[in-house]
Amino acid sequence: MDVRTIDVKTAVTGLVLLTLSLVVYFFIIPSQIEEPPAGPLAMSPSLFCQVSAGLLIFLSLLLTATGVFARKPSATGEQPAASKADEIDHKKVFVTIGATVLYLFMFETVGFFVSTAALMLFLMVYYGNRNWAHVLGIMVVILVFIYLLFVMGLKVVLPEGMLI
Amino acid sequence: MMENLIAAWGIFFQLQNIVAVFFGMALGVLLGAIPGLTATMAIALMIPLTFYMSPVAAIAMLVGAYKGGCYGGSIPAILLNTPGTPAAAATVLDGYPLAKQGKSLKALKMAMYASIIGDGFCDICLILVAPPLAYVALKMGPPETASLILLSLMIITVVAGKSLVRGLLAAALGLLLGTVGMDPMTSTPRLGFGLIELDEGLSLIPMLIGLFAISEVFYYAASKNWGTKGGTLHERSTNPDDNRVTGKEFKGALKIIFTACGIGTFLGAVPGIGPTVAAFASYGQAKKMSKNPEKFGNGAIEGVAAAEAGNNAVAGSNLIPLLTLGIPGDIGAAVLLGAFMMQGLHPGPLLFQENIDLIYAIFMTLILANIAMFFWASIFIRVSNRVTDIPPDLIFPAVLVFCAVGSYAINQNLFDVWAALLFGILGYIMRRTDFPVAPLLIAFVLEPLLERAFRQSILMSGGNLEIFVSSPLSLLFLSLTVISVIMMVRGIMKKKIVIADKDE
Repeated sequence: MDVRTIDVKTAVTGLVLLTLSLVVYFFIIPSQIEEPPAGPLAMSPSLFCQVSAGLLIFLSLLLTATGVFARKPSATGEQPAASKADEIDHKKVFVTIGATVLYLFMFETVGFFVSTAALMLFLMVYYGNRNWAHVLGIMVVILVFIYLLFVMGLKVVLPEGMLI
Repeated sequence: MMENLIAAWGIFFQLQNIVAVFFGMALGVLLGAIPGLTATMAIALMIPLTFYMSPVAAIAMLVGAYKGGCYGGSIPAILLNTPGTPAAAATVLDGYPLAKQGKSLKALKMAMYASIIGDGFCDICLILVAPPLAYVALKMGPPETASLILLSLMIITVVAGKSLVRGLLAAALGLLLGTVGMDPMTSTPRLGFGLIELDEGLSLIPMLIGLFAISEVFYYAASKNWGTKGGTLHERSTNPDDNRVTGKEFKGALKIIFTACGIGTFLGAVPGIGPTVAAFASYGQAKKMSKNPEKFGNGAIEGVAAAEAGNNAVAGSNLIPLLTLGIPGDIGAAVLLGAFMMQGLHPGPLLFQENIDLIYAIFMTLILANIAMFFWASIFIRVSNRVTDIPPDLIFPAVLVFCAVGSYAINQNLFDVWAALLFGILGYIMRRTDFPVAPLLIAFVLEPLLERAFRQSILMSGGNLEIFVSSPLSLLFLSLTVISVIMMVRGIMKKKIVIADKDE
């Protein structure tokens, strides 16, 4: 038999989206878009922005309601244990994002090839690969391929920075 | 007519034309397979090479590149959850789950067969029905266009995720992001926050790369299984049937493939719609037609077939408004229009009267392009499938680097790379909170067309919304939109009743 319960994740997601949508509708859109003095509604540059933000507000309310009035089957017997595949390692995600941010700062200051080599080396070793032949081999192959395709073939000027 | 065909054969059957088709196709597939590089880029890069070629060879190479790019996007979509082109985002939905089940070769081969059939079908349509099809497509005014786009958005939202509300939220966010930049009617800056880089709006390629590729890297990073020694990206199945498309699967998918071809051919003939919408619309229809719709999103081979057939059917039908009326169907066709004019050919009704031999010769190169696609696709599949043998801790840093350089290469501006990273973080958060990413991307792509059509309709009617129901075609599209929502809601209610009955 279904039991009425609160799906916290859904309700909180809905509330966060609702808050953001209200900020967009009432603050960001009026401050970022200059309205013409007069004219038909269809010519208003903020019309479609307001329609989109209004839709976000309505749907966020709906999502919050879905979470608050959720119905879940009552628990019968033991719940299955979470498998290893379900576990999330937040630290690895933050480290990956942090490394990428640092890479983008180095992109133009140090140079594309040096910063790219550093990022690839760091991530491959951080994620447990200790086979240096593979690590260095993949790194060299990727950098040479990028040089041949983008620099020589597509004439993309990659930033040089202080080094290369 | 026979004389024209014989003359056309004499023009077409030359070594330089055949080499041009094969070369264009190879480069198109390669560039389409690298996220950040598109079929349009492949054509644009080849145009300087065509200055010294005959008109047929030049067009043959460019069309080969365009078709190759449309197909090439499916390879990383299946292997890495990273669509090489926006249209391949539909192929991801079932292609990547199949790869995770060890059936990457099956998915790649089905994508190849469906692409070739889709391409061949639309080439035949182009040859046989080009003028009347263009006439029908151009009967669509702003209200019909707005209603059709709304229908497309709804279909995509319904099929792309498990939750209708979450899908609609993602689509609404995509519409809002699409409004960033200059207002198309008044040129007023909108939501740019004073940044010059946002004057022309957010760029599609960094969004695509971030939402699909970079978010996948973060998603894999979060998995505690990453870094396991000796692991590969996907365990390949040892069952021989999992590494090929069986006769039964192919026959079962044929009806869906031809339906997708029809959808792709029609939508490709409507200027502005493009292969992305065709791919998702075909996918949605395939799910409705399938005997096992619950498998869609979890590795249904028909899903891959429908998405690729719909996507590639656009490549040829895009040429219908281009050749018959001089109106390009999408950006790729617009670049082709430039190439036609550089060769002294002016697409339009007169082209069929003054250069019929050339036109027939170009049609013959389109047919040859399908053979070239089979040749190159067979090679690329075998080579690219080796990617799955590489451990993820080596692959994903490389993917991250390609994402960065692919985003940078568009405008040679670091802003695009930052945008890709931010969309990567957004995509990761969306996946963790069970929001589908595809509706956001599609809504973003369609927003300019939808907004223009909507506002033009309102202007035409003086603010009266009745204009959307006064046209029979517009009313039909709106009715189908409402029906698709009702059917989705009914499906959800039925599932809940079934689960409740099981508990009792």
